[in-house]
This record gives sequence, C-alpha cells and structure tokens, in this order.
Amino acid sequence: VSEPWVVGRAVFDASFGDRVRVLLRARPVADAADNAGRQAWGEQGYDVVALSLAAIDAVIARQGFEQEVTYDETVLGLAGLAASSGPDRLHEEHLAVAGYVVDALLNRREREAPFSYAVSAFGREQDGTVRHKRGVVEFRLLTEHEDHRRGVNVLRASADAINALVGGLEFDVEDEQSAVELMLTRQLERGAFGQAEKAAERSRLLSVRYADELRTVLADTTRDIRTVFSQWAEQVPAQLERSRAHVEERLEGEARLLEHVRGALDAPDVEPEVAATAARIARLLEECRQRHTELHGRLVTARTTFLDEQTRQSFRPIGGLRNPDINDGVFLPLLTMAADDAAGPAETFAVLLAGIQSPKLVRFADLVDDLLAPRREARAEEPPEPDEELGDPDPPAVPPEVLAAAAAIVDAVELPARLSDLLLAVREATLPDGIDCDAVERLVVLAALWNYAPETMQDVSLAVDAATHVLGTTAAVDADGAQIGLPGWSGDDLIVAQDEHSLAQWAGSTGRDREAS
Amino acid sequence: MTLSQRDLADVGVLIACALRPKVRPGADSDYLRLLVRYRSDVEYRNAVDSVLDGLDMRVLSDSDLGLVVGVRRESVFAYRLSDLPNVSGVADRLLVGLVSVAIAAYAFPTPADFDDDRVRWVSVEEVERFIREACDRLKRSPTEDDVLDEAWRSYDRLSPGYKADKGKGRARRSAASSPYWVAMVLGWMTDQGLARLTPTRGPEAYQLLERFRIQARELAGNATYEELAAIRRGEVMA
Repeated sequence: VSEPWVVGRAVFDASFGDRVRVLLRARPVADAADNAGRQAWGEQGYDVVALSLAAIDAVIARQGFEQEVTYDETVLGLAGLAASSGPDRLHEEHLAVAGYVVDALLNRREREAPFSYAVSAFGREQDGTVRHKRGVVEFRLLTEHEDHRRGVNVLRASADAINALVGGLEFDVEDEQSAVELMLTRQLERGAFGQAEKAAERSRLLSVRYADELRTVLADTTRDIRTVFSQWAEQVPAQLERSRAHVEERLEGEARLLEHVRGALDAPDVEPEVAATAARIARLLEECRQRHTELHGRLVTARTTFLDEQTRQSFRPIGGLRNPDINDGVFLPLLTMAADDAAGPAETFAVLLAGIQSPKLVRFADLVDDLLAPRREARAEEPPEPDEELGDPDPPAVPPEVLAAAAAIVDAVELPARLSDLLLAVREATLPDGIDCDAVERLVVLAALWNYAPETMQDVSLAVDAATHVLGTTAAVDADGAQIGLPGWSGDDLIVAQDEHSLAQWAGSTGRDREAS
Repeated sequence: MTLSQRDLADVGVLIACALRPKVRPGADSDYLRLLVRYRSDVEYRNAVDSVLDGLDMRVLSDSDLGLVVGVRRESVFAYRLSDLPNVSGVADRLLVGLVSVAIAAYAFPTPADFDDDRVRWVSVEEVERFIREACDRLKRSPTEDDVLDEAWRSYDRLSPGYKADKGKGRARRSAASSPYWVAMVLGWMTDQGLARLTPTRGPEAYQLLERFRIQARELAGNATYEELAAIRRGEVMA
C-alpha cells in the first residue's frame, strides 16, 4: 500500500536532480546533430556528435596554457576531420560543417545564451502524495574569451563540458585524480595499454578542471577581496596547502609513471602497437607534468597574491568595489530624467568609459596646409572618419592587416593583369577574420590609381609605402580605354604590371590580339 | 632603496604604454617587463600610481591586457566628447552618453554579468532596437506632469530609418537618424580600443573588448551612479 508507484524510490533521491542534469549535458550536442539534417550538407553523413566531442577535446587540450585555442584553429582542426569523413566533398563544405559544430557548442544561434532546459523535480509528502516542481537547468559548453596578451578570442570549455567528457557527477577532483593514477599504474602493469591511454586522457581533463578551480579563487581575490575574505581565513589556505601537497605528489607520480611507460617502450619484445600507444601516453603525461609544474608555481604564489591584494584593495575607493547596476541604476534613471539634467551624468559615463585621450597638438605646417586646401563640400551625413581630424598624428588609415591581405592577393594573381581581375580575386579570396573585403578592394584600387596618377596633396611617403607594399616596388600601371565592368566600380579598367617592361609587352601583345581579330 | 633616475624613466615608459590603449603587452616586451615589475615591485608601483594621481588618473587594472587607467574628468587626458564629429551642443553629448550607457546596459544587464569575462557582441541594429524598446515602454507608461522633456524623448525623436540611401560602398545615414548615433558611438569606442568591428558576425557587428568591461565596471558605472544619486539628493533638498 505504501509503495503504489511503479517507478520506485530513486526518483525522490537527492541525487536524482544531478543525474538529470548529467543527462541534459549531452542534449545540445544531440540537438545539433538533429538540426544538422536541415543544413545543405545534412545528407552527407557527417557525425556531428563525434565532431562536437572532438571540438571540446581540442579546446581542453590547450585550456589554461599560454596559447589557448582560437575559434578559427578549432574550426580548421574539425574541418580536417570532416574532410576525412567526406573526402570527395568540397573544402568549403568541411569548413561549414566544422563552423556549424563549434557554433552549436557556443550556442551562437541564441547569441551565446546558456543552454536552458526545463526539468521536473519530484518530492513526496508525508502522506505519500507526489509533489512536482518545475525547475530550469542552465549551462554553457564552450565560451569565447579575449586573450589579454594577444588580443585574439580564444575558446574555453566550461566545467559542464569537461564533466560531460569525464562523464561523472560532481566529484572531488583530487580524489578522482589519485584514482586515475592508480588505475593507470595497474593498467600499465597488466599491459592494458588501450585502456591506460584512456585513463591518461582522463587524468589530463581533471588537471584542467583543477587549474580552473584555482583560477576562480585567484580571480575573485584580485577583483574584490571582500567577497572571498571569509574563505581566506580558513578554507582557502587549507585548500591551497592540500592542493600543493597534492600537486607535488602528482608531479612525482607523473614522473614515476613516465618512467614506467618508457620502461615499457624499452622492453625487448615490445609490439609495435603497444610501443605507439606507450609513446602517446608518454606525451600525454609529459603534458600533464608541464601543466602541474605551472599550477604548482601558481599555488606557491597564491598566498602572496592574497596579501598583495589586501594591501592594494584597502586603498581602493569603496565605490569601485561593487559591480555597477547599469540597467536599473544608470540607464533607466537617465532616460526618465529631464533632458537638461541627464546630459551631465550621461556625458560623465561616456567620458569615463572612453578612458584616455592624448592631447592633440596642431602642427603649424599642417594647419597652414589645411587652411590653404580647397574647401571640401560639407558631407554632414557621412559616418565619422576619425583620421580626418586636424593635425591628427594617428597611424595610417589602412590597418596593416588589410595591407597584408591586399598584398597577398596581388601576389597570388599573375601580373600583368587587369584591375578588374585583381578585384575579382579579392572578392573570391577567403580573408582572415576581421578583415573587410571592401577595404581590401578599395586599397587595391587606390594603390593602382596612385601608381597611375600620384596625388601630391596627401602625405606622399605614406601613399608610396602603401602602394609599393601592395603592388611591389617596380609596378607600372596604365590605361588603354577599356572600361571596368565590375559592379560597384566605374572608370578605366587599368592594367597592372610588375614593371614597365612587362607593361610594354602586354600592350604589344594585346595590340597584336586586336590586329588578329 | 630609492628609485634611480633610470627607474623613474621606466615609470614614464610604462605610463606612455598605458596612454596607448591599443598596444598590448604581448606585442611589446618592454611593456610586459614593466607591467610585471608594476605588479611585483611595490616601490615602483607606488611611483607609477603617484605620477598618475598627479595627472588625475588611476590604475583600474594591471592584468595581461596591460595597464588600464581611468581618467578623472578634469584631467588633461580626459576624453572630450565635443571632439567627436557632429557633436557640438549639449543635446548631442546627451545622445552620445545615452547610447554609451545603453550599450553597457545591453551587454551587461545585471551587476553579476560583469563577473563573466566571456566575449560580448553587439550590433548597431541590436542596440538601436534595445533603446527603441526602452523608449516605447516609457511612452506607454504614464508620466509625471512636471517633467515634460525627459531624456528618452531626445532619442525617440530620431528617425529609426536604417539607411537613408544606398550609395556605393558604405551606407550613408542622416544625423537625424538613431542608427547614425549608435554607429557613431560604436565607431568611437573602436577608436578608443573598447570595441572592434567583427564583420564575420554580420553587418555592423562589434565585439566589446575587455577594456570596455574594465572601464564600465571599475569606473564609469559607479561614478555615474553616484552622480545621479547626488542629483536626486539635491532635488530632495530643494
């Protein structure tokens, strides 16, 4: 009578919710595989699930190191895998598949919002009736971050993604790691290398998670020591001490294991397959060791970080410690204020956000030039061109990446060529991330035009530099009256040659062509 | 130990690096060396902080991103909105300020969002829609009689027209349209090293950079909040 439920008692266990969550971690990947059917390549048999896992693996492999993996690198790596699964398909398709997988893991379709799923939680009253509560499980798998040193965006796997791979519930990292090590030793002793390799992989995943935990504590400390102050009293030092002992132990253990694996390699009758696996494991262990050495360094200095931050932050003004509430505390109040009153604080925000502006000095020569220059027509509606400011000593308007991209494309086209051919090459080229096709086109046109008829109003040395950078030092350009037929451009379809000589030859050959026809 | 002349020169070098927001320590070994020194050498750090204080600036962050400094409004290094093209009067500066706040509110809707350093993306269209929706909500809610010209109306008056005419190259917009102001503010933020254009994410899409998060979180947000609170207190007294 007391147990009328067919489902049994497990559904009321405290761990049930955790298990549901574990199950859901795979859902975004499953959904991505499902939706892949609607892609142009949906019928080509790419395994989105396997590629997703490979992507997470690729990210974790370098997570926490100096050079974390970027979006483009991950996509390229996956495209390689996709290529081996669909060798007769186009490279573009492989890239599209890879991009689709990484975007799905980032949840780009929903603007990087966390994956969110409604779940049910069941409880039981005293009288045996079942209580149902709706909840939401939210998590991310991959996130994009700015690499502060390099300025590029790198990918990181969330704890959820790492756990999904390790495939367990929330566990104590340290114990799990000792367990893995023990397992690995046993497996090696038994010669079960295939399994040992898996165990080594798992050991690496745990190291990543471990480093992440430490990073969180230190980041919180650096940001606002008060939020973690109570933790630093007992919990964190104890954790650090334990971690340090543990990492030292791990370092030793990994060295021992490495010996062990290498021993297997040196054995006289080692099979080639075992040797290859052992070599791979050795590499993995080497990587773990590197990771732990670095982690050890950070652990040793963690206490100093705390003390330094304590000194530093005690001098910080109180206002700077809280995170501001921009929406409710600033944006909405500003909107509802009288415009006259709002102008002051609104400007304060913009000015303080802007950071630094180096005072600009007007160079007398520039000023005279500018004053004597013919009056330009006012084009009020044109978007701002910051480089047109008076006496602005800023770097040239063309960023070096655009210059490099343009030069690379011109290099790839056989000269002499028509300007329209160069522009077509620009439109067809796959440009590096963040480079505007229009900008490259414009640069190529300007470089050709400058060669054809140098403009002397502007800073000559810069223009010469840019033009020679794109077209080469000896380039020669001429017009023969042919018109450019490319949408977006009009005027002469200039001929661009590597030097005067080849230009003359081109003129001769096209002349003959014309006579022949 | 006291700082030598050479050390003082190093103070200058580090500050000069901090004054160029687009230079990253990763690309400049001197910068990196002095940044590490700033973090570890208390005496050197104090010297840098004191010089900055004299220039009405202070360090907001000394991460690998570089030395990010905040500027008080009276500093010679403070940004002057009137230097922006087409920004002449108070009304224009109000718009620039409102759009800047809106971008921050859109990207970091709650205080906790500032703790998360994942990349934030915005586009001109998204920001325009975000402000427009806020204006629409205010339009529907009853207003107090004594405030007739609320700040949101100066944005609401702008035409939401996305493109005035489709010329070749980039689209031109009228300064009487709201996308013009959003695009202008995002362009200005790009020049200040707060954002960067990311054409692969769609038309007029920008990535807000770490520097944006630091400046908004460590300085601009709270300072503006306090200024608003002071205004409110002033009203109560009057």
